[in-house]
Amino acid sequence: MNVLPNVANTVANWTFQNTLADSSGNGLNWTVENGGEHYTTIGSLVGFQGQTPPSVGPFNDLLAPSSSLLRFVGEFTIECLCLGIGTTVGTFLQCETPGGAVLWALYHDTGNRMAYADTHVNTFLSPPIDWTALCGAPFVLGFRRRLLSPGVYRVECFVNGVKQSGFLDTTTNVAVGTERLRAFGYVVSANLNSVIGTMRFVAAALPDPVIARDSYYVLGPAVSTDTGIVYDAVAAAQFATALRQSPRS
Amino acid sequence: MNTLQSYTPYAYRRVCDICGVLHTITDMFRKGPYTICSDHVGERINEELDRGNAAQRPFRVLPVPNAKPDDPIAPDVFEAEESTTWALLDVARPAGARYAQVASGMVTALPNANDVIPVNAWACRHYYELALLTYPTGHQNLWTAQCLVRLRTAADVLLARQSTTGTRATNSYYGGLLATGSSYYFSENTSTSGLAFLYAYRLLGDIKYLAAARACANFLRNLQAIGSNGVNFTSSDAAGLARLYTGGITNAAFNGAGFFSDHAFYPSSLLALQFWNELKLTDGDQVIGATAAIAGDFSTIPSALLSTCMGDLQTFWEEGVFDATYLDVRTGLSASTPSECFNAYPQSKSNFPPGDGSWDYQDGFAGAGTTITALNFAKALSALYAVDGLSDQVTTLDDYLQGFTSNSTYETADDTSPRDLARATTGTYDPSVSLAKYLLVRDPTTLAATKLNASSLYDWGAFGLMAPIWSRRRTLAFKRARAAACQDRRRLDDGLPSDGFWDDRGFQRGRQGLTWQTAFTETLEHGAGALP
Repeated sequence: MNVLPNVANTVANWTFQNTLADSSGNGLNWTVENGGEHYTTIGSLVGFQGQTPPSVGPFNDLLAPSSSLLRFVGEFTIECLCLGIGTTVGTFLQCETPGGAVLWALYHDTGNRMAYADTHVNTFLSPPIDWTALCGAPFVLGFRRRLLSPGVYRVECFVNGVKQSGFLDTTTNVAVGTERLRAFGYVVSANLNSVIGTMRFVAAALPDPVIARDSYYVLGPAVSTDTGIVYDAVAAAQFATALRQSPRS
Repeated sequence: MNTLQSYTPYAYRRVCDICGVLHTITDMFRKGPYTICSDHVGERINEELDRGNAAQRPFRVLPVPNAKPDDPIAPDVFEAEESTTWALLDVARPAGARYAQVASGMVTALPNANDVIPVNAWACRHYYELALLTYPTGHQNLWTAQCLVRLRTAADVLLARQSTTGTRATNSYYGGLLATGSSYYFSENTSTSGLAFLYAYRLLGDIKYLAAARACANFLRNLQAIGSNGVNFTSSDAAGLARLYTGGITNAAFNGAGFFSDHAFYPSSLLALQFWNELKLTDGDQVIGATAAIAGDFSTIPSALLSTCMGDLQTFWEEGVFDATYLDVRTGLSASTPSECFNAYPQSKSNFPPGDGSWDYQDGFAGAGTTITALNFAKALSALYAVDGLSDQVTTLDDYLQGFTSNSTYETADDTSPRDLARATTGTYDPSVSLAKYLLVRDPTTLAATKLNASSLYDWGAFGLMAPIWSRRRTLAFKRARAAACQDRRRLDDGLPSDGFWDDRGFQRGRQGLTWQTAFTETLEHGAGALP
């Protein structure tokens, strides 16, 4: 597994590899609003666990600093690595005013369906995406809002790079300029009982093949960003065949 | 004059031509040009020796090659190099690591879940070869017993990663190997592990390893049969409507309902051919693949005879398939149209990047890509050589790879100081040393065929895979290159005490700069498979 790289129009890129820092260069680091900072593994990566067991601590919420970069009044694409644990209602992300008015939110609802809300709609994606079926194994979740015609957007959901469903959203959000982004919950309810690994916000509607490729990049063969002076045991084992070839002297 | 004997007519005296003593001629006989006394009847003359030599049958026992006395102090068996590899594997393999950090001088494993299968599978192959090694007479074999211990340990790690849920008739992934936390089964992991299981069975005799090898063969057939039998099949059209059975084995399958595949065919998938061939030698021809049309995964039953599967796979890489970009039939495993992989249709693939129905490159799609990965070709050639020996395809491709010349981009600039050179990887590329990690096969501007190195690193893994071929085809260059890889290299040889006194060998690092540098850092690649 790999963390998502920065691409054009990346606004924020949180690796969650034991850090709340934003690796995009825009400085949109998360800060703990409630609870604590708890990580667990998703396959070969690390992710932030939204709702910790009672033995560990209370709910966790995360809050990003207010930033005009997070308005997202137009097109955007959000991709993240996700490991669903619980089936109670959970909010992945919520963009809100300082007063708590929801501008838009991504969540799974009481019917265990993936859902989207903004100032215009508040409904599950159609046809419904069964959250219960997604729980238990890592998957790459993608949300995209793309412009169809002036003032008309389509909101779509991707699971492992495959488009699942969507609906029309005919109203644009109103930017107030002081929005903030919250992840893993909504105040003290709808806390997300899941683990989220690498997460990237792009202020553009990425094409389907790019989202599919991103999904494969996250889940597929790891291309570590680690560098260093290392010995390669596989290459050495492959080379050893040469030691046994004639002539041996 | 002899006064003791009376005169007898015609019985004069003569000197024997052999012993020089006087004898009466009546006691002598002639043989060829010689007159010989009765004391040397059995003497053979030159003519007789010539006649005997001409009639001599050739010796039936071949002489030992390079026969020379064994050096009892330092027998030339590459023990130092074997020990180095042994120690490295002993650090990395149990930790599930391909790489070991050595920047500080200490060797520390860097575990990664994606490396567990490759490092254990290649280690099994290493231990198998080492255990079978024949040493010079009088040399004490210290390796074999420990090889068997490690072979079993590594094979058992691989067993734990193998999917054995259900049966061949119910589980499309039956026999495949999946890394912890991964969502993709890679064919190369299964091929190399299948060979590892087979080797473990041969040396350890435990039937569970043979069963595991058979299961690997089963999964590889399922990957091969996606085009002909799969529900989500490889297609010859962008929309994904017309089935295309290439005979090749796809690179990866997504772990989930539908048996979705990337429909990407890499030359390295020929490692499966080598595994199948070895399985056939040990276990005989047999039916492999799912024995039922597993609901949601296969429309029809994909199972087939092992020998048929091998033939299909080999034919694909010999003859190729239609390329939707260049509108001809070609194979990427060739000197005329070398490519990284066949990225088949459908255009939109669930869980995988899109396909273009064409032979793509390491750095891009068919319309723009220019480079290939040497290790990819080396795996294919080593597998073909293991099955068919020096076939036309092997020798043609080997000659092609030897025809590359040095790319000025990676050559050392004039007036580069020794200090800077030690910290760089530049130099003049020589394909007779080893293959560069990447090879430029098309000009980036004109896309015309070209043959230059596209990396400043020699790949010693590729060298090891090509070694059986090169040791036969270009012995002297092979020996020279092997010695270069085994030589200790001062990591930062610029005389500064702050640099320490660390030495590395090229083959330990896996790659090495074109002027034998070992001080470089590189991005670490984990697991099998690659982004098409």
